Amino acid sequence: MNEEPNSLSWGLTGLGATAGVLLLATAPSALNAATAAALCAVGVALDRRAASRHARLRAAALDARQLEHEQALATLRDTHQHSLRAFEAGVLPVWLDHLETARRQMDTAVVHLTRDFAGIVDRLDEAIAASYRATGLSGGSGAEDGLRQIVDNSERRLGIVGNILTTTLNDKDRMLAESQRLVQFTAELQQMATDVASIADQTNLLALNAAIEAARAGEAGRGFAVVADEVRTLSTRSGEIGKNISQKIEYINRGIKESSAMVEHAAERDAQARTECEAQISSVVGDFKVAMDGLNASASVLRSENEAIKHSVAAALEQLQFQDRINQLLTHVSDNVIALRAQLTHGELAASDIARLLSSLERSYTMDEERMPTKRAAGAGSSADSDITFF
Amino acid sequence: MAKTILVVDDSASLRQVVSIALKGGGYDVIEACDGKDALSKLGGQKINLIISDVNMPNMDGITFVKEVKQLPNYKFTPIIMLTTESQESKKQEGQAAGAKAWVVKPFKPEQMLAAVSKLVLP
Repeated sequence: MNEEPNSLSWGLTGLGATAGVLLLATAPSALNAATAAALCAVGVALDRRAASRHARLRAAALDARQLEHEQALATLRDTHQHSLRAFEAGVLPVWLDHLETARRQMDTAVVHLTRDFAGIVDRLDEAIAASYRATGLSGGSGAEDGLRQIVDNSERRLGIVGNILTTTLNDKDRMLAESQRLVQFTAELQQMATDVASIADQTNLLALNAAIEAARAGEAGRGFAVVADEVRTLSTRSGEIGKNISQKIEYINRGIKESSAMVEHAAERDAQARTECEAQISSVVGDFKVAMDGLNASASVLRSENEAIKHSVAAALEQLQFQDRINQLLTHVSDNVIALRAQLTHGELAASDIARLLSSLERSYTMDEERMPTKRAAGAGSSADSDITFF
Repeated sequence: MAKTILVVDDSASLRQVVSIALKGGGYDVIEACDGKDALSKLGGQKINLIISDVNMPNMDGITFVKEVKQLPNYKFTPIIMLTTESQESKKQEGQAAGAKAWVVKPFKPEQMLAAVSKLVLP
């Protein structure tokens, strides 16, 4: 396009020059030379005029395009500002709303989750406390009512019952021994009664001899005969009493032997009962101990499980703190979106504004994960010790 | 009698996590949602230790610590800062305000209990 006026200009100049050259060639003369020069001059003048006119036309066209361009830019700017306002009024509030909803819902969910975990821990503690009370292994104030205590008390009390039975049996044994000693005494008494009867017989015989001698003595022995007769009467009575004693002793002896036999029999039965009783007591106490050992074993498993669950809950409590960290991240982003929105209400968002927003976001950072994004993945599941500084 | 700990944090879930950990260690817990709320809950009662967040609405943790240190009944009450902030400059700010320890979230419950038992008033 730019070369067009030049070629036209040089075309008219060339045409004049060519005409001049042809004129000189056909009829060289001074007049024709002047005419040729004039033709060249006219060509140059015409060229300059055409170039000037073209320049004016070109300038006018450029002005028109510039105006058109500026109008297009203004339209574009208006469209852009309208879009930014629409973005500020339509999209950013939705983003903020969604961020707030996410934060609120997460907070509510984590609070419930944490409360549920706390409930699990409380219920486990109650179960363990009940187990301790039941088995009496806690060593605390509830141990007195514990099963171990009950079994120990039962064994002690049942042992007392056994001791009472043993004491009763020992009393019976002593009674039996006393009865057997009485039997010995009655044998001695029997001998004494026999001796009394024998003495009575001899006395009677002596009295009879005395009566015979008194009869021989005649009148002089009459008094002695009376005495001898009385002695014989007494000896007869003594003999009868001796027999009675012997008979009574026989009755007593038989009674004592029967009683001894009964006592001995009862003692055997009691001894057998005591043996059975002790076996039963031992069996019952043994069953109790087996049951208690079973309870202790299950309580031990329960306690062990409780410790494991508590450990897991402690780990869960650490993990649940992610909510607080995410909440802070979301808060920082929300605050930055609010700042962006304030900026957009002016309808402008220059590069310096974007840098300022980013700088503001970075200043709000509190966590390493925010400052060093590569740490994000490693942060939540870390098993490292807590970062604790004592002043 | 159980010792009482005041827990100050604007996150309800975090307060609950701290409370569970402390109650597991046999402590009584009072909760407050920011510095102002915490000051209103002190009320002259015996507090054996305070655990406070740093970034909170209404009154931040550092300001709260400074306020507590002005109160005759609580000027010697040990305070643990519990926060996501791990920058050394922030820790120094907490120390200057009067805090006794700085714990960065997330914490392990047993290590928090160890720190508490080290500092708690008899």
